[in-house]
Amino acid sequence: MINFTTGIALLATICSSFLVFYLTKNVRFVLIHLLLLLITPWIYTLVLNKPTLIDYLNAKPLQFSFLKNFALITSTDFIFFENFTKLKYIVGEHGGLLPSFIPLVLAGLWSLLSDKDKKNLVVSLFFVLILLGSLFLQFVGYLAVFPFLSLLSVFSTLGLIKFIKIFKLKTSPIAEALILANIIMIIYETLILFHNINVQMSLKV
Amino acid sequence: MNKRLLILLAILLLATTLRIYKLGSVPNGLYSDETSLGYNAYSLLKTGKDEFGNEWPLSLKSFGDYKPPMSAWLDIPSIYLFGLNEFSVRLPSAVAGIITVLIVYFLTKEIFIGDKRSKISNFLPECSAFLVAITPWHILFTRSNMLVGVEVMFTSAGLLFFLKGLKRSNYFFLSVISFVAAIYSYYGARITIPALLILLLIIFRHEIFIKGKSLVPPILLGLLLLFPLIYSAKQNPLALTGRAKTISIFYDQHITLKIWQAHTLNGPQYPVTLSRFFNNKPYLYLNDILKRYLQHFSLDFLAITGDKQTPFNMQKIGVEYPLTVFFFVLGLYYLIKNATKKTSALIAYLGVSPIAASLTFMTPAANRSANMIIGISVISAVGIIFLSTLIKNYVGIKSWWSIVLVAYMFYLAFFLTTYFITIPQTYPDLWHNGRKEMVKQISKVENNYKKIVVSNSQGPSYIWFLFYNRYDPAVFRQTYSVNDTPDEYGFVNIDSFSKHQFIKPFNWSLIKKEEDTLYVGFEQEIPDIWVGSSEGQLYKSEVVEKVLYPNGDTAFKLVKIVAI
Repeated sequence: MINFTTGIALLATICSSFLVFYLTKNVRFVLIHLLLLLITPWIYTLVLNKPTLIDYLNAKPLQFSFLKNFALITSTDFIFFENFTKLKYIVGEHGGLLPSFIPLVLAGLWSLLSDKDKKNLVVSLFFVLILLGSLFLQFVGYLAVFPFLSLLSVFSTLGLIKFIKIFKLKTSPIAEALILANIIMIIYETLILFHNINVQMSLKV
Repeated sequence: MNKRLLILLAILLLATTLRIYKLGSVPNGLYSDETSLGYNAYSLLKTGKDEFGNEWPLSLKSFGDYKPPMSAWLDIPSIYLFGLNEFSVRLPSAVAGIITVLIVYFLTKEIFIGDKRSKISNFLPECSAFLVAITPWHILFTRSNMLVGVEVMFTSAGLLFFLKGLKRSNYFFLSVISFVAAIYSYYGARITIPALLILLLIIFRHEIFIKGKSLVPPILLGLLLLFPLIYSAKQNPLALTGRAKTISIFYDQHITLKIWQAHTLNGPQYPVTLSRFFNNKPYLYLNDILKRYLQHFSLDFLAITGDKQTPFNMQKIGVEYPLTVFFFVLGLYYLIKNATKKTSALIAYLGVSPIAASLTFMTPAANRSANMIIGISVISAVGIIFLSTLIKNYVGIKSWWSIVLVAYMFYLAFFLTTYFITIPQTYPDLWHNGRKEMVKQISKVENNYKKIVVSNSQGPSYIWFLFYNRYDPAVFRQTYSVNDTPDEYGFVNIDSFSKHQFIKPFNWSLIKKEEDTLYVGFEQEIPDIWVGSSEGQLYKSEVVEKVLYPNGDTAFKLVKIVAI
């Protein structure tokens, strides 16, 4: 049965896939994006509805401070390491994205900023989503940050595409080795994520 | 006079004022580490030995944390000239802060001026120096003697001379001397500097390869200067590592507990090998280090709440101004887009700065990552000038500089109000205020008592007695008694010297009550009224004196026991 949070997950997937297609004009890259979403913690919290919608709506900062909310949702702690620490979180102690996605997000952001045609769109979208997230965190709780997290997932897809291109060009052995190490870490952390969901959190939640 | 020279002089004057004004009284109090460095410098000046009688040691035993000696060495001339007081202890750090502003000016000049590709060199050195001069992070650490003010000066000087050395090899000697001085100044530098040197070697490998043999003498000089430290570390490894062991993430039980929790969550039926595969120390430590490293770049740390540890907590003020963080992001973007080898060296310096801090469990740590100040300031200055070039068609250059200057003056005024007025009034204990008054009050009445029992619960009290009484180091060495077993944070305790006894924890109900003894504890540690009996005789406590904080709250109570 599709509940409200699954609906949000579906909407985020569709919107972010459209964005990937708009930016790359390549269906294969959309497939890569969907594959990456399948190993992304934030999507599982929505699909598995744990925390529930009510939990999300109730989990708000105690005092409204736009700057503090801004700092919270843009912090690496929140995005990659801890996420909603006060909630019973289905994926365990993971952030919205796996820590091994950090190089992907940075590479994706960088490749977009280097693209003169799309730079303004992406920068604008990035700031609008962060601003909306910071503003609405007080009113709709942590639901407000999912648009921002889905944009970061788009960046990670673009980063992976960049890495694949570097890997194919075979220009720098050091870069290739680093990319390979990063991919191994992604695989390892994916295994940990599924282990947490299936073994640890299934017993806890 | 040349206009640019005038601007530089104005910046240096501002830096000097911000670092020297009320140096002895703000921060109000003298933190235990500063007091220890000051007294050890005094002891070295008077006797050529540290407080425990070690001749010119390369690490000061102090509270068992084996402090690097540079700050104490630099305190010696200051104490000789101005006596043993708060001002003279902090003066070398403040002077180092002013010199650092000048170093940043020349460092920025070295990196950007003369590079034909650089479009943003105009007024960049002045702007970088200005940002360092007014940043809360730098002011905080150069108005106190917490080791890092001096270390940042030497490390940034080391980088400056290294870059200059690429053109004229003689500068490598100065670079080596500066880097070694930094290693003698702060433990963090023993990680930061090797990491920085490795990155510099990678970035400038071609230039260094060309220099070839001319590099041998500076390297030999470096090894020669480091030899005493290495030799000393061979005799006592703590001389090299200090308290690093007890503050490292490997000492903290956080990861071990996490693994234990994970194994428990997996349940008894789950295969052990698989459980270990998913929850193992190498991965979790790597994750933890990465997380702590990135915390130093968070907006919360940089611009909102800053360091939450005592005494560096500036109460809801970040270590940098929010505006600086904005310009930093812009500047970083510009530098990566227009990277040169020298800008890469600057980014490498910034990148290695939080490494030492990320290996400790108290993060983000403003003191252990203080070298970030230089990178952030220079890159933010690049951001300011980069933005001015972007909007030059809309805003005139004079208007732009006026806006930036007014905005920064507004932030500076807010910071100074908090630093000079709010913190001393609202959080007087932050920098161990009240100890000087306590020692003074005790000195007035101590001849009336056979023994003085003092609470050690918030810092090692003995050091304030030595410092404020200018106690003869030779006499102290004859009478002190130390418990050399380190506590959970790696500190050792001085139990007593002369007729002073120091107790931790100071539990009033368990302390033996005697007449002819003066008891000194914090307000909450000694009850206002106490009555007890011994051998059929009733006794009561009587407050001899109260030591007050500047805001009127009671800091210490001096209590005696009298028969009823």
